[in-house]
Amino acid sequence: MTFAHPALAILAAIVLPAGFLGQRLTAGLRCRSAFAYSNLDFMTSALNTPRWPNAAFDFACAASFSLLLAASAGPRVWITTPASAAIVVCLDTSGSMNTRDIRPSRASAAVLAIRSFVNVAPTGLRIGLVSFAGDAQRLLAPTGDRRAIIEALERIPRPNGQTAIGDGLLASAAMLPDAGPRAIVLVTDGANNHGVDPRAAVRKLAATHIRLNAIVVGGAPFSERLRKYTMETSGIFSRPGSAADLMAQIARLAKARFDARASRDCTVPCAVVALFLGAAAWLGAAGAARL
Amino acid sequence: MTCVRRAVLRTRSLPKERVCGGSREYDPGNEARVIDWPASARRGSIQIRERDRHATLAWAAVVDTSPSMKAGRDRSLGEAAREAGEFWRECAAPGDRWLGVDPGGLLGGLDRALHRLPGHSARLVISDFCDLPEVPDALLRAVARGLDSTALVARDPWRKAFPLAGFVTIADLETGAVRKFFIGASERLRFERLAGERERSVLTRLTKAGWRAATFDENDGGRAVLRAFRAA
Repeated sequence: MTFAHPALAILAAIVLPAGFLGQRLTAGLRCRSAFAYSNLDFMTSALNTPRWPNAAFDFACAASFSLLLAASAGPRVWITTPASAAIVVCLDTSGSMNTRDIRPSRASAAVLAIRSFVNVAPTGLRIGLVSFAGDAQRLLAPTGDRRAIIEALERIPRPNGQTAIGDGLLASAAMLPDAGPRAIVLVTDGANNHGVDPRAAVRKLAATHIRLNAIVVGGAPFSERLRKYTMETSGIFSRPGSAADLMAQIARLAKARFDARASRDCTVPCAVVALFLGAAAWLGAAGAARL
Repeated sequence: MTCVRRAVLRTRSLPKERVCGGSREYDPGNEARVIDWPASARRGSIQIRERDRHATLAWAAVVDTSPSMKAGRDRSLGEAAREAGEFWRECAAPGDRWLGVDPGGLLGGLDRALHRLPGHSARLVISDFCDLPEVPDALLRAVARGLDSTALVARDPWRKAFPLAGFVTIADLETGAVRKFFIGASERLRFERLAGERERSVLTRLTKAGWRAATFDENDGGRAVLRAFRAA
């Protein structure tokens, strides 16, 4: 929740407990308008009234005033709703992915991890596939058809050639829809040594609100640069040390929610609730009459 | 008033020497039961007891003046209590003694009634008896063992119709303590029922301790005294 006038919101937050406690503490003080009775102990035992109506009355008074202040502070709430997101997995198939520092090899471990990613991805998440080495290859446009994705994994070329991360990112971005939650999961092991500069590609991603998540396998020398890229697009960077870790990291990305956020003005509801509570308290006080 | 005095004189605990206030010659038409046989034997002629006319009594009224007696609808219970006290005073014959007691609360008033008043005095205690639970039975019985002890118990002014509803603040007249209540229909009914029960329990306790007891309300001072004697 955000407020247009935070000072008023802080005041409202203070008024609620202070008003409630104040009323509870002053309840035992002398009151000129009080009904005089000869034996309060007998009255207490005879009426045997529960304490909660008085507490509710005091709370209603305090909450009414506090909510009026909160309403004047211009409250806005952020509402998140699950949205149908699109993700393109951008897999590095350069020659270095043949390295076996991760068993059985970086490329095989990445493919296995992507398969598990597909299996645990939530329904409604559309997944596309791009591979890149010296150039980018669009294997599958984002789709919700899991079988098609698994089949596309079979078409991933064998690791060979240079590393054109920028090309891969641009090809992935081109496959994503123009609106809605979108992300690219970059699985790579190295630094860009061919094609478009990744910085330019990342700037484009940031401009079009596409999130870049990067998973670096093996001892990539430019991982810090990739971390910076992910930060620019509010993405997630991870560097798993083993095949199992890689699988876990990519599964975490699959489970990350893609929510659409929207802010909603709450001034009117706050004011309505405040007036309702105030009216209830006023009616309660007005009903305290001699019959 | 005369009947109140007679009733006091007929009290079983009146000392013998106080009863024999005097005697006179028999007149035709006098009842045989009032013949004073010992005096007749002494004087050699039939004598009639004149105890109602000549016995001197001590009258004492302990009127509760605590703040709780300020309760009332149209006027306070304290005003009715003062009326009852005045009525009690008027019951005294010209030769009788009048003893006022500054009560200082029910417990203090009973204590003074026991220790400062002569044992043969006719005592009237007028109070709301809110503090009765604090008064030990032994003290109640000790006061009642004197000549004559009458209690007028103030009735709760709202015993028949509790006047409040909703969220109300009620203050104790004695202590000034304040409490907030939510009073609905069921609470009002409960209060009215328990107020009646409390009144009955006070009367029962006083009667069991040997008191002549009756109730009074804010519109009913002197008549309550008569009612107490009539009931007894």
